[in-house]
Amino acid sequence: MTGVVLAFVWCGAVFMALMASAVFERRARVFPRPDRHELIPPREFWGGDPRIAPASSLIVRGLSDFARMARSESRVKDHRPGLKALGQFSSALSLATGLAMIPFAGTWGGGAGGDALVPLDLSQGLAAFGLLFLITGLCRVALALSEASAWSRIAGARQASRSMAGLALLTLVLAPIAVDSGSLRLHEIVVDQQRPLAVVDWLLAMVDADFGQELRAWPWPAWNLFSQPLTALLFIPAISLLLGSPRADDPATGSVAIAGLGLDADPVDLYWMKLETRLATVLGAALFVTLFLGAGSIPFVDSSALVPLLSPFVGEGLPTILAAAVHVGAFLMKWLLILGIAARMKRVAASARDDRALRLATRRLLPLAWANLLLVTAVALWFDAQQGGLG
Amino acid sequence: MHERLLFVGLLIGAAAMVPLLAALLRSRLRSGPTHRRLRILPRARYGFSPRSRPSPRHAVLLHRGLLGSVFMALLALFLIPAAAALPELGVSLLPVAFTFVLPTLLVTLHTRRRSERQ
Repeated sequence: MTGVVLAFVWCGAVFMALMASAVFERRARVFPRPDRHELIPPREFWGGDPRIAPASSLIVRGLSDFARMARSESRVKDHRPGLKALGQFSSALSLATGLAMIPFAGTWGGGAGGDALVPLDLSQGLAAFGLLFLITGLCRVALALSEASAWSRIAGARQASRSMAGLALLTLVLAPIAVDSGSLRLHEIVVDQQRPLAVVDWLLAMVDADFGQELRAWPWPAWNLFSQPLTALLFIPAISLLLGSPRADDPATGSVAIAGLGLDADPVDLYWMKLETRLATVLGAALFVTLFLGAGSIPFVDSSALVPLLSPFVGEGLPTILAAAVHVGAFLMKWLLILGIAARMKRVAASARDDRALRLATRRLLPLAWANLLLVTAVALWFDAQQGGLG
Repeated sequence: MHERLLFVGLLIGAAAMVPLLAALLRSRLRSGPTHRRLRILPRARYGFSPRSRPSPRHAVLLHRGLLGSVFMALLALFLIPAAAALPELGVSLLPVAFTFVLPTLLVTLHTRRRSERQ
């Protein structure tokens, strides 16, 4: 029963994040700027309010896309519909499986020792993500090959190089997290971020004992964003390289790319392509929240304290559900924040050409990721040796 | 596992509702006298330009990049389970880890310098 409720709640949260991603991306791209008159689009001359142009309405855009899908179907002569359907389904399936592995609801009761509330809990979860992203990349290559045009084949080659370089970089970026937490299970990585920071522990040994005890009692947010900031920074280009789609009508670029997927696709195919891109964005943001922002934990607040506090009045069931709801709410807030920041950053930053992005990843970021891995490993072993020596 | 199947089924099923609804609407509209059949379109074509031709070294560079990426991805996939075992094995593994990592790092840096000279 709990599992069924969990699946429904997580499905609702994912759809909320998908909607929010669409709204943030559209607002960042087409929302008019009254303070910058030179940026108001020329469509104002042929109708509509210049402050709220018709194209900025997401609902109108969604309705027009639906009307296109409901019109008569179109098929392109040389396309292979079977391979295309297989690619679309497998890609959506791998991304949905990745989302099922995100520990969004914490544990039963909110404490660190409770059962993990997650639809799919794998002991090798971090390594499984590499495999799922590889499947997604292969499905996109299959989609490109199904279109049988030279331009979509070039897009397939772009996707293949992006996937391989992105996967290599992502693996090197995720390795320090595995070293630090000593596990590949996502739930354990999240729990590890709720322990006191090792550096803070080390510093507290130097201050007055009473004051140190008082500070130690605070639940310091030992998020990987603070303990491994370089890893968090390197994660962003790695995941954007891996999950960025070479769509022909990518809205972030502002123009139609000739060498891209879906150049002459049917509106239904475009719908699946857009959905897959949004699922990839949402999964990347959820992974960032899980690995670097401590999932649904709130700094300086212990949600497990709700259960003993309220159980004398209403029993144990309701406070446990409340603790899980607090966890889910905090996760959702962090998730939406990351999606909003990502949409703004994508709008502000220049969209790099594939060869430049690959050169940056292989020549600059991969050696940096190696150096980061060595640094984190050395620091982790040094802290282990310190604790062993003290013990 | 059942929760995973339910979640994935719900997600993909809900996403498929939109095109299914569009298909239902299309089939209803087709029943009228002015229905339009499936349109078979030719694929998009572009003209030829000599400036769009790649350089003769393009294939060589692509091949080199592809091989390098494959080996790097294999190396990286091997690294994750090795990294998880590192804290359990402790300080004794550090020299072994360095002997594994440093040659790879040196080769990467050497390749980078060679490509810049070219």
